[in-house]
Amino acid sequence: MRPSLGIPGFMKKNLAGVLVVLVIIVVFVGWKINVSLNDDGLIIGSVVDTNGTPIADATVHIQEKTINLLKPPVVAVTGADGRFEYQDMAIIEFVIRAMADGYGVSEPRRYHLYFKRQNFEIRESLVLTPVTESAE
Amino acid sequence: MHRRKAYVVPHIVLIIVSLLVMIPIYWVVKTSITGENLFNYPPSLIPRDPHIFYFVDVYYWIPFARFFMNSVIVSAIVVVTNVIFNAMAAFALQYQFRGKRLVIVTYLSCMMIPFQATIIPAFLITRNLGLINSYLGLALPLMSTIINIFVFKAAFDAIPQSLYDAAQMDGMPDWKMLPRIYLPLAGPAIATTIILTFVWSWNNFIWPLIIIQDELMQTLPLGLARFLSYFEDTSGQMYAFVIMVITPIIVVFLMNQRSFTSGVLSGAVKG
Repeated sequence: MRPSLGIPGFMKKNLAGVLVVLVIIVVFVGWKINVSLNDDGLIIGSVVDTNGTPIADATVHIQEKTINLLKPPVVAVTGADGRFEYQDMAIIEFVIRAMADGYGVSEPRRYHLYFKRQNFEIRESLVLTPVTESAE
Repeated sequence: MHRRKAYVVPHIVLIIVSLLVMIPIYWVVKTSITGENLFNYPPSLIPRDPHIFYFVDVYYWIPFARFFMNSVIVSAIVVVTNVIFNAMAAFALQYQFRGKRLVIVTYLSCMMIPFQATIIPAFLITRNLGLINSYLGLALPLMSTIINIFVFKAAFDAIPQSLYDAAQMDGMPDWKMLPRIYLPLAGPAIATTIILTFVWSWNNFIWPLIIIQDELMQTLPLGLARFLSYFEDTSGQMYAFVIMVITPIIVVFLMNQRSFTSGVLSGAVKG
C-alpha cells in the first residue's frame, strides 16, 4: 500500500485550482502587510541647482492627477538642506515641479504610486536652473 | 515507438492551435501592463516597460472593491440556489408520475424562449416582491436554470436503481436520499453547475442594468460599461479592468476543470 502524503483527496484532484487560490491568498496578504507598513502618505525629495547644490526656500508644487484633470497644487517649501516633505498625501498619481527666487521652474515630473497614502521618496532631485544661466 | 510518433504530429498541431487561441488573451494581458495601443504599428510581441499602474487606476477610479463584492455575493447566491433547486428538480424527475413527459417538454420549450422576451414580467415580479436594488433581486432570474436541471438529471440517471431500492429497504425517507445518496455521487454535475451558473451570473449585464438604480449595488459588468464612458476602449485601464473581471472566472474554472469536463460529457454517452 502506498503511503499517503497527507493531502486531502479533493486537493489532489484540483491541485491547479488549489495552487491558484493559495497564490492569490499569499499575494493578497503580502500586499496588505506591505500597504499597512507604508501608508503614512509621506512624499519626500530634494531640490538642487545644476551644480547639485541644495536650494533652500524653494517652493515645490504637487498636483494630483485624476481621471481627467489636475487638482489645485499642494505646496511645500524646502529646508536649508534642500529637502522637502509632504505628509498625509492620499493620492495615486501626481505631477511635481519646483521653483525658487533666482531660478526657473523645474521640468514637471509625473509619478504614479501603487496605493493611496504610499510613502514615496523621489530619488532623483528636482533640478533648478539659475535664471541668468538659462538666459545665456 | 511507432505509437509515440503517431502522437507527435497531433500534439504539435494542438499546441499551435492552443497558442493561436491564446494570442487575443495574451494581447489583452500585454495591453493591460503596457497601455500600448491596439493599433500600434509595428505591433510588438514583447511587452515594453510593463507596470501595474493601470490596475491601480481601475481600483481607485471606480468603486472596484464594492462592485467586485456585489458580483461575488450575487454569484454565490446563484451558484448555491442552482445546486439546490436544480438537484431537487432533477431528483423529482427520477420518479414516474403522470405528466412527467409534459414537464420535460415544457422545460425544453422554455429553454427556447430568450431571456430578453421575459424581461418585463421578470421585472414586474421582482418589483412586486420588493427586490429592486437588492442582491436577491439580482440573483432571482438565474436561481434555477433548465440546462443544469438536465445536467443533474443525466447524472442521477446514471446512478443504479438498486442503490435507491437498497436505501428504501433500509428505511431511508426519500427526502434524505438526495443529499445522502444522489448528490455525493453527482460531483461532476455539481461542478458543471457551479461553473456554468457562476459564469452566467458573473457576466450578466442586461438584468442588473434594469433592476439596479443604486450606484453602489452595481456589479462588475455594469462597472465595465461605466468605465467605457471614461476611457477610450484601447486604453491600458480598460484592458486591466477586463483582466480583473475575468480572473475569478478563470480561477473557478481551474478549480473545477476536471469535474466540469466529465459533467458535461456525462449525458453524451447515454443511449
